Amino acid sequence: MTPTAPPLLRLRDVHRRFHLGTTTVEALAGVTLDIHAGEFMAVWGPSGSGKSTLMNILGLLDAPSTGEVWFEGEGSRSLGDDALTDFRGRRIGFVFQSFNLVPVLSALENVMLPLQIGGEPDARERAGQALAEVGLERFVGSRPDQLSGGQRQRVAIARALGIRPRLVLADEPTANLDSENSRMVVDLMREMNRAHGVTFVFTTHDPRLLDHVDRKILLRDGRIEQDEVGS
Amino acid sequence: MNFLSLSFRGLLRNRRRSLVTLLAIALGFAAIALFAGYTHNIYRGLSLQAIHGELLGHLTLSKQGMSREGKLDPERYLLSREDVTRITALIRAVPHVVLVTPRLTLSGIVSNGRASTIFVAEGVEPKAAHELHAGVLRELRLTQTGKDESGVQSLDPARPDTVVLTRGLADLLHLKPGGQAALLSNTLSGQANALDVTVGGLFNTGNAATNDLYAFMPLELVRSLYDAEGRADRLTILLDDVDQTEAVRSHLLERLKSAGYAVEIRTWNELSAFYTQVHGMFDMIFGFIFGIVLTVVIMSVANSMGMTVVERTREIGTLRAIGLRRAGVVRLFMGEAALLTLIGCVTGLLLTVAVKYGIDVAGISYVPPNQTSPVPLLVDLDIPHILLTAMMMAAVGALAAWLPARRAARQPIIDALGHV
Repeated sequence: MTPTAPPLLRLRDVHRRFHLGTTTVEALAGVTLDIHAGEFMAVWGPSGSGKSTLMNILGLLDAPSTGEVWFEGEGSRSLGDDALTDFRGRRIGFVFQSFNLVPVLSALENVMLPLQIGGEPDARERAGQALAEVGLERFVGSRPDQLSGGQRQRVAIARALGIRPRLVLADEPTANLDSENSRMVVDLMREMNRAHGVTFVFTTHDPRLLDHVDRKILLRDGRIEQDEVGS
Repeated sequence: MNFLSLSFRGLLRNRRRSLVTLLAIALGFAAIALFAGYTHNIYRGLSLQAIHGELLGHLTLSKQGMSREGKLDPERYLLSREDVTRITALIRAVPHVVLVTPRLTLSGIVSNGRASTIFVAEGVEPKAAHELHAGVLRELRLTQTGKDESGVQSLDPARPDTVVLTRGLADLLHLKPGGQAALLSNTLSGQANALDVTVGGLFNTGNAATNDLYAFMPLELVRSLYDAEGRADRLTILLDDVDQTEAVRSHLLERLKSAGYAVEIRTWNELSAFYTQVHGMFDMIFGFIFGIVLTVVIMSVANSMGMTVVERTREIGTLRAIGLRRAGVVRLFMGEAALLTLIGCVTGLLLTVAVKYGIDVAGISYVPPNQTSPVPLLVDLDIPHILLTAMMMAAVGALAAWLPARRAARQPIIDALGHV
């Protein structure tokens, strides 16, 4: 890909090492990557290849041991913890493998949560719209334990989209779902990507889901082994 | 949905744990509130007893140095007739003053004709004694907690030779109301003087050490025995509001100083050593109980919140990921703890009210140490102490959550998200 616009996310020679007692594990070993606005891409690879670590770095949840990360041209190292948290809250939506919904809140309240944290005055309205977009308008008052796995993940997607993010990161979003729900969730993400131009990056083990993406990055031993554009 | 609602719902996640913590807080709060209410009632009773029962009034004025040197040189420290008249007029003009009356203390020997013993008599104008004592009668009527046994009502302006003795003193001499006794004392100039008196009534001081010693006598009788016509060793001042005691004292000192009088004015609680000692002792016990309860609250809340934080580690990671700052996480859990503590305090307050009315209905009475008669066990609702306790407990509860909440907020987000 030879983009004309500057990338949404730029990673340069990113290393991430973890110290486990006397052992040092290098989860990412020099990742250089540009992600552009509007992309719908998957990161795949075997267990332990560094997918989750890469997602954490992309989501500014973790900092590289060495190397640089820029989000919309802003270096992540220049931001303090509060600024980084605010930055994340405004620009990045997260979809987790285990949905990570707050169990005591309804679907609507879960979607409202990041909006309220960000001080959005019309949080309820926007959360309602987001839920309608993922087809859950009838379940606004339902708590997570009253929803199926697929519905929970759709609530999580609505929560991620409610803030109108520039980027949505989904770490193994289909790992806890059956194949039908998995396909439904990926289709939904794809739809949202096309409808709103939101960049989606997700990790998966399931090769069948890779057919739906624009770009596939194969990660192995902390390195990008293949960066394939086009489905 | 707001963060208060989120905190409240957080408490409902583990209801049994929240309930146990809430009960610990409620019981602790009730213990403090009941003890505060009990001591409040004791203080009120003791102040009433000192001001109205012992006829101390709110303020006692005497010549400067009277309290230290008066016994050694009574002539020098007695107020003259002119002093009494002028100072009384000055004091009466001060707001909140409802009564100013001269007093004279006398000691001597009382005899039934066959046996004798020492006495200490308070010379007081009978009408003024009734006014001073009216506070006790008002309280007895209001609370219906007993009958007046002070004997002060037996002092009668129409019967200037009638005295009131403590029961112990009367018992020593086998004197009964209506009986005759002889008083022997020194006059101001050191001459022996004696008078026959009639026993009008008996009373208990409530204190075993003084119950066979004291007597109330008409002021004119004491003056006559002391040969101190028109004189007084002090003036007793009654106010309409006990809370004005200090303010009126300051005002009076200033006013009398500018009028050229060197006087000392002592408050009722300075004169009532018993009140001061009891107050000091109960304050110490209260502080001790308060400390223990606060420790229990801190430990309960810290334990509960510690477990909550561990259980909700992944949720904390999620909240941090979606934009909640570290301070927000701390606020969330501190708010949860403060809410839990406040609900505990409200429950404790309800418990306090229930126990208070249970005690009132039960009509329990007991004999306090060094007392001669039973007193009813009563508990007040001490609102200022209750509010202070609730605020302190909420603050302490929130602080107890601060450490686990801070620990949770500071852990790396990826560790929190990966918590199992």
